[in-house]
Amino acid sequence: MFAETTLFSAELYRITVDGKKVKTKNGIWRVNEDGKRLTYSWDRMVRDYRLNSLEREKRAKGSISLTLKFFDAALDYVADRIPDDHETRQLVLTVTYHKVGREKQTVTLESKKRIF
Amino acid sequence: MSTDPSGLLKCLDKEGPLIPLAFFRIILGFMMWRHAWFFIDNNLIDRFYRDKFFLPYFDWYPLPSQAFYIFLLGIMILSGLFLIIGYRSKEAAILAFISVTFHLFLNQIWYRHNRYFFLLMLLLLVLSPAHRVFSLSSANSYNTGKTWTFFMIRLQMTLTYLSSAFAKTLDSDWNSGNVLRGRMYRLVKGNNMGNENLPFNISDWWAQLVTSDFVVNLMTYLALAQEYFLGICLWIPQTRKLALWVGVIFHGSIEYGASVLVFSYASLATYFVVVRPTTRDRKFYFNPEIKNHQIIASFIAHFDWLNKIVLYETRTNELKVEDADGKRYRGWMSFAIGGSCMVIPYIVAYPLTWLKHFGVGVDSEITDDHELNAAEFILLRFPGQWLLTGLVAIALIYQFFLWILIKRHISWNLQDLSPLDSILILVIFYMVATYYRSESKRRIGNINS
Repeated sequence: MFAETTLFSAELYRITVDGKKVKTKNGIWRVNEDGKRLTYSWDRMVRDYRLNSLEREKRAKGSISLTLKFFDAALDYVADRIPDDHETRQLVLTVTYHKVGREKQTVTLESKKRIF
Repeated sequence: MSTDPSGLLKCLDKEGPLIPLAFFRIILGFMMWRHAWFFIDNNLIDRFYRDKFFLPYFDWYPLPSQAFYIFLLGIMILSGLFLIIGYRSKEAAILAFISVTFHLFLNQIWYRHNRYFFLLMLLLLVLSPAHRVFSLSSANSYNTGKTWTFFMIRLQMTLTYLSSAFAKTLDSDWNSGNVLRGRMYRLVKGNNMGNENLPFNISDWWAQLVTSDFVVNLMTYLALAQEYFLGICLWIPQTRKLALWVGVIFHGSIEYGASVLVFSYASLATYFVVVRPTTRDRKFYFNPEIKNHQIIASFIAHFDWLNKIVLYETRTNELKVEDADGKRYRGWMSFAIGGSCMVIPYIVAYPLTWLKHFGVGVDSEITDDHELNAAEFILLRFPGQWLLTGLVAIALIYQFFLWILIKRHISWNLQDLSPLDSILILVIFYMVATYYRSESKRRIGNINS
């Protein structure tokens, strides 16, 4: 019920159309589309509840279960808002969290598969 | 058959002075600004909230356009202003409750316990007769009325303390001390949470001390005991004043250490209705020919916002006070007892009154005196409209100071400045109380003439 002390950090990956898993750099990735270079940023689309600033360790706001729930929804949200990215089939987020005094745990979340 | 109402009905029918509700209303009005300002800053100035990730509670819930969202936040600001100055405050309370409720359900990410608590407080404000006191539409700013909402507000606050205490007692992270150990670690190491080897590997001796099992366990037990104490002892007349004092320090330190949006101030607002609902039950004796006495008496006239003290003129050379229980005290103890009835000096004056239990400052002489109206003793007599204009100006300058100067140019975290809000609230109290006190006097004077 009350704010737990859980530290977490998250890394964003892209599953490309050829099935490769490519790590983004702090949630930023670039794709080529019709000769143009497009840049996408997780932080521009997801800003609240400490869901931004990926790859940096932070204290979970509220609880880690809520953080994971919102990350899951945010993945679909971002996947819906990159229509010009025809290289990314799916977004994957790896969240590593650590409740104080307990072992680290890792959870992998996946967006819905994008259809071009 | 007996037609006597039950004890509960009697309780619902009980009447008393409504001044505490006025201060409760003013703080909630100010919190409406704080609440709205947070969203203006984060979801309008930064970027409209629908242009970034958000998660509504329900698919069918109506989502506002940007223009409507601005209107909604504008309603919050305006209703806050009306709650503060006491203009159509019933309607303002209803609008505040509706706008905050509608807003809360727009986005799951915005949910916080303190926002839900704020919503419940606004609901109780709607149900209360707070609009009848310190009100531009009421002839007498010091009205009495039904006080059953006092009970409800206190009950809500008690439930908050006890549920928090129970939840922490049952939570393994809390009762093992892990939560506070994490907080202490953060305190000694700043915001750098990236330690791979928790439990902690800190070389400084004091850092080791404050994160040691002994200190962390002691703090955990104290934190839990404090919440149980507040939940229970605010109801017991013999412990109420002590509990209020502990509570002010408790919430003050939370606000200072980790500003929890509207929670600290909204909780402190409820303390006004915890105070014994009586007025003019202390007599303060002073000699108007002695300069120091004049200064102290005028201080009381300005800052006795809950109308607890009646000033009496006397010819003795010593300050004297008659406490609510009829016992008399003299010298600095009288100032301590007077100060313990007022908002600003309370935190310092109340502990000094403990000395009266050791016989300090007891007075047994009969004093020759006559009563003065405190309102007559107000030295600064601003016209009412200037006070209200000043109130709005101070609020705007304050927000300008925070936003334009600090956030834009010095890049200071706004949370670092949140304790300054208490100064603004006290200034608002002063202006509103002074305005309504002089206004009441003027209106009563007109009625008499």
